[in-house]
Amino acid sequence: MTSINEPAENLFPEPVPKWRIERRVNPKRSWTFAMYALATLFGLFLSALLLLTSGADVFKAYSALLKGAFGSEKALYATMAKATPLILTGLATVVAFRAQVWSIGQEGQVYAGAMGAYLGCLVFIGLPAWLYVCLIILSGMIGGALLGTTAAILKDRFDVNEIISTVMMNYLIVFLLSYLIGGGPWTEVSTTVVYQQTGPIPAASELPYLLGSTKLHLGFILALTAALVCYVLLEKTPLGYEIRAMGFNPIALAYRGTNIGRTIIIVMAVSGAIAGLAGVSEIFGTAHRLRADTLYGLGYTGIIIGMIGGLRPLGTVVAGIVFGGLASGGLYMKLLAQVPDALVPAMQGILLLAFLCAGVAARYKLVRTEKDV
Amino acid sequence: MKKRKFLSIAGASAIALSSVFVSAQTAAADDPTDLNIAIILSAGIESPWDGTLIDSLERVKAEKPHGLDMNWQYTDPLWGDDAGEAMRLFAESGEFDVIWAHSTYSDQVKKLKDEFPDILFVVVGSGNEGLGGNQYWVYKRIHEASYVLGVMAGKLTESNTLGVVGTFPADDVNDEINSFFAGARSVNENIVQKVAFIESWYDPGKAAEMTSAQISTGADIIFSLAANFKPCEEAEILCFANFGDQHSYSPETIVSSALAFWDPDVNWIIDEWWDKQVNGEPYDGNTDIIWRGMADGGAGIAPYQALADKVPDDVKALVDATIAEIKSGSLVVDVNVKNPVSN
Repeated sequence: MTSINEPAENLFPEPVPKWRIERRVNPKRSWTFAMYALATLFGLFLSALLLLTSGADVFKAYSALLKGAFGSEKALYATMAKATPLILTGLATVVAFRAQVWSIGQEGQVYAGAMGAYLGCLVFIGLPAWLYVCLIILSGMIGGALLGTTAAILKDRFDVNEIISTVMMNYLIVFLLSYLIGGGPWTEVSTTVVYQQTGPIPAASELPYLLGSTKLHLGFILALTAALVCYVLLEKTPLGYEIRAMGFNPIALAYRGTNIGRTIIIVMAVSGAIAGLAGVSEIFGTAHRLRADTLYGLGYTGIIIGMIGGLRPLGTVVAGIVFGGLASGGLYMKLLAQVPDALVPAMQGILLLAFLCAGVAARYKLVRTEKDV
Repeated sequence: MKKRKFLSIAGASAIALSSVFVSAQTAAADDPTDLNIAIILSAGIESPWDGTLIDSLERVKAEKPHGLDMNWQYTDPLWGDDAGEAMRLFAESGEFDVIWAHSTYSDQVKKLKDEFPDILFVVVGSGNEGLGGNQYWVYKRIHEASYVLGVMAGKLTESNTLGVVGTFPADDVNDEINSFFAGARSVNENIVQKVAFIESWYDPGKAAEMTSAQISTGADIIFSLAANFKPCEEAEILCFANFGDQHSYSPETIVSSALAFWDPDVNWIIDEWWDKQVNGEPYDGNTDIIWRGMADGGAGIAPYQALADKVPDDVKALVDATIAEIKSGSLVVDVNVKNPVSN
């Protein structure tokens, strides 16, 4: 007999769940590949439904997408050029998020990198071309790293949440750039006295084009190099071990004697430097003058790229090229198949969700905990 | 004999005249009948900057300049490399006579104009480079209309504090703001000016934030260049808009708007294109800015519409007199492009 004072749990015991989620131990590469391939097909299928509801011709739209993304040598170069800043901001996300430092500051760091590089372009003018370009790249990386480090110091010293501080700094840096190019010292002086841009950068400072292309530039090689460096850093070095361990259990890592604050500062500096490189690549490889609107959204998109890439450097490169193709082919879709503008980012969103689901399916499995009676 | 000679001459003349007439008809038949325009938009059809261009094209199309049947296709907002790629696609299609890039796109045009010498390229507004040749540079100043709105605001304000919410500080933005305050001060020397920029060409969210901030500093009339009037409705104050007549977006707050009419600019471009096609005149794009103000039909102010009773008759009369002075040239509104700041 039970008393009315007995806890309710005893009257209604919680059922033991029949299924639980368990991490796969050493998942097979073929399984992972199959999941992502399925996600791609599923994403394209859902996107096709979306295209149908908008009244667009699905076949025409996908043909235009393919033509614009990978349909010719020129299209392929354009895709790689579009992918370059996305790979870099994606890698910046990988470094930060693997340490579970939730930086949303890639957007601002892209701007800081572009601004640092432009400052370098002004300061080092006259040096031999190869040295000039190297110093510009370095200046851009320092610009991005400084902004990242600021957020890290705020977190380490004053316990300021990095999500808040990085988002705030994204705004600050845009306003600083606006001051500099909207009437400030970097404003272009020409027929119209005030506009939101600098003058064209010197030809010697431009990142050289590759393979005779007029789109693909040195920035793509820098992005691939950055991916390789990230892989080695995260997987093959003691610092990489600390970064990954901080992501799993920072308390245990602190007991091991690791200086957590120092590690956060290094992570944010490296992440910021890579994001800054994206700004360098976009301004000195593509736009050839500093303007805010050409940089807009590269950092935020990089977060998506990093996530889709499974927070791994190789995956990020692949995701960056896929999204570069979407950006390049999306324009063709809009112009040749009259697909509404809003559908291209919607397709990107659908693919993101599909890839995130694939990532979970690749790493986890459902395990039965009891047999049916 | 004389009669026969007369008939011969008359017959020959008739044949000559008819052959001239026929050849003239043949020449007219060779003249182009269609004009196809590809338009690169910068902010989208919903924004006053881009929307007013399409409105102007519709008006010009109805007039059938040179008997032309005008057709156009416009893009969603595109910038930088994407805009350049879109221009190339349009040019390579061979379907378009004019590529009208409705903002700062001369960097992209520079890479294409010599490759497609028969296409007339148009770039618009500040930040462009005057390339000449087959690139024409349309400029728009609505500072005179803004001055007139300032006159109205200077008379209507009770707090003597006027607010302006701008997009980016730029040449053809600053001129509007400075002229608005100049107009207000011409009738009310106690005006305090408040200026904020949203640092975007189109961001209604930021525009709302900045407008609310202006109102909280005491501004009782807002001149919004950023197209969000919700805070004005909440604060129950009057507002002015720019580029298009935006009264319908907020009928209880928008008294008038400084309007841009692209009609004279569109007609100019069509004439230039026609000269090349029919008379063989080479393209000779301008390298310096050319703008058409109120006297040329390039700018104006919107009617008061539902808020006419909010504007006293003496203020209406003053507004009309100011417009007449500007159109006659007896009042010249200075172009002041310095960055405006609050005081």
